[in-house]
Order: sequence, then structure tokens, then C-alpha cells
Amino acid sequence: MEAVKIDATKSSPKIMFKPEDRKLKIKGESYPEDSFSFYEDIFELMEEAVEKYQSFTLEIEVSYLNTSSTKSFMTLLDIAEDGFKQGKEFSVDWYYNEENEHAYELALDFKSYLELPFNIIPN
Amino acid sequence: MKEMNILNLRNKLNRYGVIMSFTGPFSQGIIEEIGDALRNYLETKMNSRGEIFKVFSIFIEQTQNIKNYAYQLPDENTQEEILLSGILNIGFKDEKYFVSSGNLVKNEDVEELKERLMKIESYDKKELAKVYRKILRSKKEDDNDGAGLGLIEMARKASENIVFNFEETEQGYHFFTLTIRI
Repeated sequence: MEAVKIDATKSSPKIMFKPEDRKLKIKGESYPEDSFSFYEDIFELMEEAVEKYQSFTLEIEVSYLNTSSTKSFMTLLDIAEDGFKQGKEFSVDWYYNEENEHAYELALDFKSYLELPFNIIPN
Repeated sequence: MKEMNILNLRNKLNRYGVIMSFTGPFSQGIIEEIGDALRNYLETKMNSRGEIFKVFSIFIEQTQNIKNYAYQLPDENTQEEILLSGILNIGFKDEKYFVSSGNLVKNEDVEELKERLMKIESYDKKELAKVYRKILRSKKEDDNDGAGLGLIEMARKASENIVFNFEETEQGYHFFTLTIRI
């Protein structure tokens, strides 16, 4: 798979994928104009990772998601969950700032919907 | 033509506790800039980042709802009219922050929106969480770009009942207002 690097903007997060790390990193805030179009390619990347890799980590550090980005994150996490359900080592590391309840609650919410290993880590 | 009295307008906004007010077409850029200004302001007033994000997120959902509603309509003139009608106020009154918005809604869309809001109004926090979960877990991709989810999220973050109103205005439209107190 090919490496991906998308720089952050005010309303969209930084996205990084390096095939050698088996890791997709998303960091920043997300409230773009059209979240589905923004994440469409990332969904595809995740689907490809589920097909090709035995282990994979989604590393997320977002301080704010609007509701349509929340919906997109759910889709992305569901794809990772598919990998886990196929018996692969797919997991999520979710970093949050301890002062930010919004990010913590989001993480707890997502974790409750999923079975894959979901680590919520203060930083 | 009678000259507009800006001082009167400003005083009126003051009386309602309005801190920031914007009227006109919202673009993503404007939403981001006002959002920045709002957060900078709140950082001087509030200690908790969580509380700041609460006000900010209601601001984002309200403005993006107006924009998304306009853009999903097929007719460009209608889109423009609705975007131009947008107004947003953020303020502080009776010890609470509020975000209040208004925009034109086509007559034929009023009933559905009203019903949706009345339902949301009738839910307690637990039921809201349940409905939120249901919408988030539904596989449907569009759902008006999450407009349903946005309204529920705002109600979840509100400290009081949501307040909404529809008033018949120009031909073919109602003016819809929504106030969320945090």
C-alpha cells in the first residue's frame, strides 16, 4: 500500500499512513464542509488494510468532531472492526487531553459500540 | 429612507446578552473564523476545555445545519435566499451561554422539521442518548449529512429544553429559529 500524508487545516485533521508502520494516524479537529467526501479515501485505505494486513493500529488524537465527522469515524472504526472480526490484530489507540471531556466521551461512546481492542490513553 | 440606527440595534443586542452576531451567507471559511473568535473569547471566560467545546460544537452544528439545508435543495435561487437569510447569535444571559440561529425554511419542509424537533423536545437525556446511538449505528450514509444527529447532539448538550419557532414570512417560506442554552 502507498503512504498517505494529508496536512491539517483548521477544520480537518492531519492524516498519516506509513505502510511499514501498519498504522493510520489521525490528529486534530474535524468539522469539514463535507465530511463524507473528506474521509472517503481513508475508508478505502482502511478497507485495503483489512484485506492486506494481519495487524494494524488506528491511532487517533482528535480534540473535536462535529456530528457528521463522528458519523465518518464510526464508519472508519467499523471497517477496522471487520478486520478484528476476521481474527486479525486490529486495534485502536485513542489519545486525549485530560481537560477535554468532549474527546474522552467520544472515545467512550465509540468503544462501547465495538469489540476490537480500544485503548483510551490520556496524554 | 429612514436611516438605520446602529446604536439602537447594538443596544438591543446588548439587552439580549448577545456577544457575537452574524447575519448573511455562511461559508465554511466564515464558520471557521467566527468559531476561532468564539473560542478565543470563551478561553478568557471559561476554565474547562470541555465547556468551551460544548458551546463551540453547538455553534458548528447550527451553522452547518443552515448551510447543509440550503445546499441540498435543487434550486440555486432558493439556496441563495436561504443562505442570505441566515442569522446567528451567541450570547450570555442569566448565567448561561446560548446559541441562537434563524433561517428561512421552505413551507413544505416545515412540518417534518417541526415534528422532529417536537420529538427531540419530548425526550429526556437517556432517550436522547438512545436515539443518538441508533442514528450513529444506522448504516445510512447521508441522513441529510447528519442533520438528524446534529439536532440530537445539540439537545444532549443543552442544559434546558431547546426552544424553536416557525413564523410565516415571505412567500413560500417560514422563518425558523432555534435557541440552545448551554
